[in-house]
Amino acid sequence: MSTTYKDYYEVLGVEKADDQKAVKKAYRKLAREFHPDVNHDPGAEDRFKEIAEAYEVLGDEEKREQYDNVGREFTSGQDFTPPPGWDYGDGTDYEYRTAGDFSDFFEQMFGGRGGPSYRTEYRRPPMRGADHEAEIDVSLHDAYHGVKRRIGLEAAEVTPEGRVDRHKKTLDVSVPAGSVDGTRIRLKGQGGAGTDGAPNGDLFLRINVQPDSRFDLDGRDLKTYLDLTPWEAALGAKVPLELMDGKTASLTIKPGSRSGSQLKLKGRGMPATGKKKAGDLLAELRIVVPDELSDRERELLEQLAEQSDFNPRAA
Amino acid sequence: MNDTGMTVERTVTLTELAYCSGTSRTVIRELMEHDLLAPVQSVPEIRLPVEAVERVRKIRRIAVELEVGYPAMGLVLELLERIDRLERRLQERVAEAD
Repeated sequence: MSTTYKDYYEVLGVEKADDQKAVKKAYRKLAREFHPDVNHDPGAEDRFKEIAEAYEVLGDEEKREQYDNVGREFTSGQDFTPPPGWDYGDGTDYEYRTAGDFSDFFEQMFGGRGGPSYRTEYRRPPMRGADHEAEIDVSLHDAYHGVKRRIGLEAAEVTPEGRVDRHKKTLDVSVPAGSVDGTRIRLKGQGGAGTDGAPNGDLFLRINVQPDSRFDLDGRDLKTYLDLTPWEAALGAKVPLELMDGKTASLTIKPGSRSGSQLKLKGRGMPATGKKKAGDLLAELRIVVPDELSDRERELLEQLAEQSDFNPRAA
Repeated sequence: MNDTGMTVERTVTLTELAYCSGTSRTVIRELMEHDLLAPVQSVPEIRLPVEAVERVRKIRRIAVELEVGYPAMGLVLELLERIDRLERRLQERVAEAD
C-alpha cells in the first residue's frame, strides 16, 4: 500500500534543524489557534488533527528519528511506501492521542489502531476507560478450593441522546483456588467505558477472605491451634489434625512438648496458584485441662502432684 | 439492555459520571474541588447533571491537548462560552442586517 508522504515539518512550520523545544512551542501555538474546542471554524478540526499528528511524531524524539530516516528523499505529496521489512511495532504503546483518526501515512509509518473515524462531530481524543475496583467477600473454604460466583453490578452508559441508561448486569467470576486476602481478579473490559471506540477499562475484584472459626490466614500460611492434654504433651502422642482440604493428618507430638510451640506442615497452607507457592500450615500447641475432673483423675493427679518434684518456676 | 432494572434519568452519580466519561472518581472529585463541576444534589449521594459527561470530556481534551491546568480551566471555559455567545449574537446581527 502506498500513501502520500506528509511533511510534518511543514505542518508545524518548523525547520528540520529545530530542536524539540521549538517543535513544542510551534505545536502549542497552533493548537491554541486550531483546537476544535476553541475554534469552531469549519476546517479547524481537520487542521488540528494534522497538527496533532505531526506533533505526535516530531514531539517524540524516537519517532522523529524514524521519520527523518525514512522520509529523507520524499517531499510532501509524493507517493510513499515504507521500505520492505519496515517494522512499525504493533502500535500498542502509543498514547491515547494517536488512537485511530490519523492519516494513512501515519498508520503506514507507525502503525495505527485503526479506530473509528468521526466525520460528523469533533470527539477526539478517544480515551481508554478507567479501571474500576470492587470487593467481594469469600469464605476461607471457598478461597482455598476456588469457587464460581455470580455478582451483580450496576452499569451506566450514556446514550447518543445524552441520557443515562442504568442497568443491572451480572458477571460470572471464578475465584481461583488459593486466593488470599487482597488477591485481585481482573475482568477485562468491565471497567469504565472508553470514549469513541477506545477500549473499556478493566474491573478489578479484590478478594476479602472472611475470618474462619478454625484457621487464621497469614499471607499464604494457615494458622491453627492444636489442643493437647497435659499427658499427651508430657508423654508424647500421635494426634489427628483436620486440614483445610478435608483430609486428616496424624501429627507426632514429641514427649515434653511445650504449650505455645509450633508444628509446621510444609505446603499444607493455601494451595499454590500461578507463580505463588503453596503456604505452610502452622499448628500452635495449646495444653488444656479438663473443666471437671472425675474422682479417678483427681486421685491420679494428686498422686502426681505429691510425687513430682518438677517446678516450672524454679530459676 | 433489557427493561428490567433499567432506569433513565437526567442526573448521574459520581461513579456513573466517571464511568461514562472514561475517567476516575478521583478526577471527578478534583474537578469538583476546582468548581469545574457543580453537583445538583449532595445528599444522600452526589448527583450531577448528565451534561457533565460532555463537560468532563471537554475539560480533559483541553487539559491534555492545550496543556491547561485545572486552576485556569474555569476561566478558559468561561471565556470560550462568552466567545460562543458573542459570535452567535454577531451572526444574528449580520443575519438581521442582510
